[in-house]
Amino acid sequence: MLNTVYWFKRWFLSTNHKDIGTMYFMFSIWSGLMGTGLSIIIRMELAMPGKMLEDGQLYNLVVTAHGLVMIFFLVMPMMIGGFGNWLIPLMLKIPDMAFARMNNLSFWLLMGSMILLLGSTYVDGGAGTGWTIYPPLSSIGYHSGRAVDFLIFSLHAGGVSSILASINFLITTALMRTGVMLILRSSMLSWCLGVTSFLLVVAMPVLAGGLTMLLFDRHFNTTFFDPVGLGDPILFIHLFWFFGHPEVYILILPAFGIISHVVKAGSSKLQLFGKIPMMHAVTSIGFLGFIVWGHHMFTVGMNVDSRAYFSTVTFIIAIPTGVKVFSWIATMAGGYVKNWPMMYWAGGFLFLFTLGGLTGIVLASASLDVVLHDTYYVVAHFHYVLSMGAVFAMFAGFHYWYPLFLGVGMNPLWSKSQFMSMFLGVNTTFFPQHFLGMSGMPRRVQDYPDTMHGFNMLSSWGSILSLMSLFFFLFIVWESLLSKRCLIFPMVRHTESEWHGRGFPRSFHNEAQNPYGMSFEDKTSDKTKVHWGLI
Amino acid sequence: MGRTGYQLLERSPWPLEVAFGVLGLTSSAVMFFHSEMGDMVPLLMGLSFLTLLHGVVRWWMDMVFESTFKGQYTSFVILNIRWGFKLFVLSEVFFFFSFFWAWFYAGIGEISVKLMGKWPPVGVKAIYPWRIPFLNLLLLVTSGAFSQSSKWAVKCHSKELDVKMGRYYQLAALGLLLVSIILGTLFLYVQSQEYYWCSYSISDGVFGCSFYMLTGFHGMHVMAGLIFLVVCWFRILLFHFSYRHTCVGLLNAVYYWHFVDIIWIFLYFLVYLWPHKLLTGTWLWTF
Repeated sequence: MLNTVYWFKRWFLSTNHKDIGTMYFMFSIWSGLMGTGLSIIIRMELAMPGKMLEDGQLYNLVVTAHGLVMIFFLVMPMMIGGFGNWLIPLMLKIPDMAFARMNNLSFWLLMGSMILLLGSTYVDGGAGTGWTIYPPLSSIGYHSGRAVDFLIFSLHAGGVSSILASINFLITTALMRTGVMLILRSSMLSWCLGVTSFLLVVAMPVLAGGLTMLLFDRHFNTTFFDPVGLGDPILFIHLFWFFGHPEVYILILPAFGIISHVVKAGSSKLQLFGKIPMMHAVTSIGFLGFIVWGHHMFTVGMNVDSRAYFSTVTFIIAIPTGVKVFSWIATMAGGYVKNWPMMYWAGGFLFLFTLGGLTGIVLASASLDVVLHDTYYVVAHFHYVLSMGAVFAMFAGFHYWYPLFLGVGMNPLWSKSQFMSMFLGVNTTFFPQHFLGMSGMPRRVQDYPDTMHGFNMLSSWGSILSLMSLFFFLFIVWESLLSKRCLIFPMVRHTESEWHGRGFPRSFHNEAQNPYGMSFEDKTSDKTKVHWGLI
Repeated sequence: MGRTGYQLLERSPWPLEVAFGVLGLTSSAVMFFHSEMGDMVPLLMGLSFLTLLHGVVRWWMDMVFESTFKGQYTSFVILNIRWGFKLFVLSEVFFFFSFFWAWFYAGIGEISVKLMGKWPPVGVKAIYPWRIPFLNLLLLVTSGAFSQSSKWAVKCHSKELDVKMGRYYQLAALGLLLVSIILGTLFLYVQSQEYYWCSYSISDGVFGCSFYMLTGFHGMHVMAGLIFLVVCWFRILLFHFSYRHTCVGLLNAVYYWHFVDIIWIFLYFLVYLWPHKLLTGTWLWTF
């Protein structure tokens, strides 16, 4: 009885960053499996011409749910809630996050948000609007049931969860650094998560406002988006993408942080190449992300000068991103590149994220985008940067830090072969979609002309390969837990501060005393005799 | 706390309770919108709201215990809480930003083309800004000034070691904050009267819905700010901020009150003065 009470208190009433991080990992992996299942349904539908699902609304619902689940319940929780919660206090050598109780609230609100989303998919035909929920399709006239309302509230709850978590991260990384940890000496993951958090605090409320307006339009007789009352659906599109573009940077910036750590440790280097320019690059990507939202709206009838402006600023984002990719490659140059699974994932990230970025440059040109908007070219682009950018970075980080979190190791040979099959799978799935988009196949449509059968079939085969790779991954994790090959010494250099300390997995509490031994006040001290934390 | 100077919090059930309350409130709200389940809905809504309220109140009570009674609020913790609250206010600023965007989009943006440049649209009578809205502006600004001076009084009360002088400062703080609260309540009353007598409603096209959305959310924030100030008033009464205890709660409450005040100033210029075109009939500037 007491054991049960202890278990309940430990996992439901937690104020411990490691436990909350573990919960976020479990939650995000579960959600990732759900999102993958939804994606398989999509690919099953699109494998052959003609309809497999009787109901077009169901197909639209699956597409919507796939997007929302992957973005809000896989990538963000794992990167920010999972890696962030576990690693930031360890890297900064502090006892816990700044607001340990609010940390728990962020997790449980996210659980509530998932329940609301699941509720939305079950009632009244579901919300078949796409993850962008544009009115008038999402207005009361075309989705008169409860589904869109549940969806709106789900995003509200998830938004509050993210904003509170971001406040927590910003305060922790900005104000809880010990004496010698000048801000430019923070680890790359801290810095990237800090910028991500700032983006979240500023952009999420704008989505909340837009969603509130949609809710009021649906139920309280307002006409924000209804031309009958002199409203305009394009207002929603502006508000959504003002949030939506920073959101996609929120998805990728933590991945940049993780890759920086993985590449540095995997190349046996003491320092990341050009760490401070990298940090400035991250900040500029974050800032520029706020002024490019129009590139998602090139086809709404925008003024040609506005299109020219948005194209130009979007092109500019390629520059800091290029700085980062070149710096990662330079970090690997001349180092002893370890033959570890995490380096395979990191190498895959560098290549495939760059490819995705290049197709992004194609789409940034307004003239080209007018042809390619809402085609599978766009789908291919963002799946390259997400499925192969963010997800590969998550795999890399997971393989790198798994022994830290759990104290056991995954079989490296199987992990490398799982990487190979996943690599083949995702590329087979998404590369053909470039051609489909170029030949005009629209997205979010249940059927397509027979001539497009070939590449669609190929893409669907790829998705099955990815699914099998995912099952293989689950097997690898399961086997590592039952075989219990315990970690004794981490084979990383002393510059990786999260690995310091005794014993893996790390203990419940962190050190009771700041082990750098320097005073907290001494933030301007440059009399550093230590190198640690210099990633 | 170890030797780190930060709080090592014990396990707390309040986050779970708040999350439950939010889930219940949102689900019952959806049911309410769709007239589902009849009589059960108000009950569910009430229960969820109470759960949420209880969780939130007990959480803040815990914070009061940790600060005033357990003394866990070192200067590091206070710094975290003050800046964390400022970041929260930043997120609120961007929440209002989205509604101001809608206001501008209709007033001078795309929609204004269909409105033929008329703002307010033809048929909507703008509220005369130099009566009630101006009174509200004066009420809020004065209230802000009084709350600011109550901060000063509390700081003196806290530093003062002589009991009698400390008592005087406490009474001063109570008086100043009370005036601030009364002025804020008056604002809400006056604004409610204006809502009652206004010639247009939230359903009156894009002007009506943007106007009421902006002013309505502002009013909700005023209510929240007032509750915060009232709680601080009682805490001053109960000597929570005496004997060198810091008054983080009051500092945050007054910061929030200033934020609410600044939003009203923006509202006054953009939502009241602009539709009335500053002086009757003429534009001071052209777009």
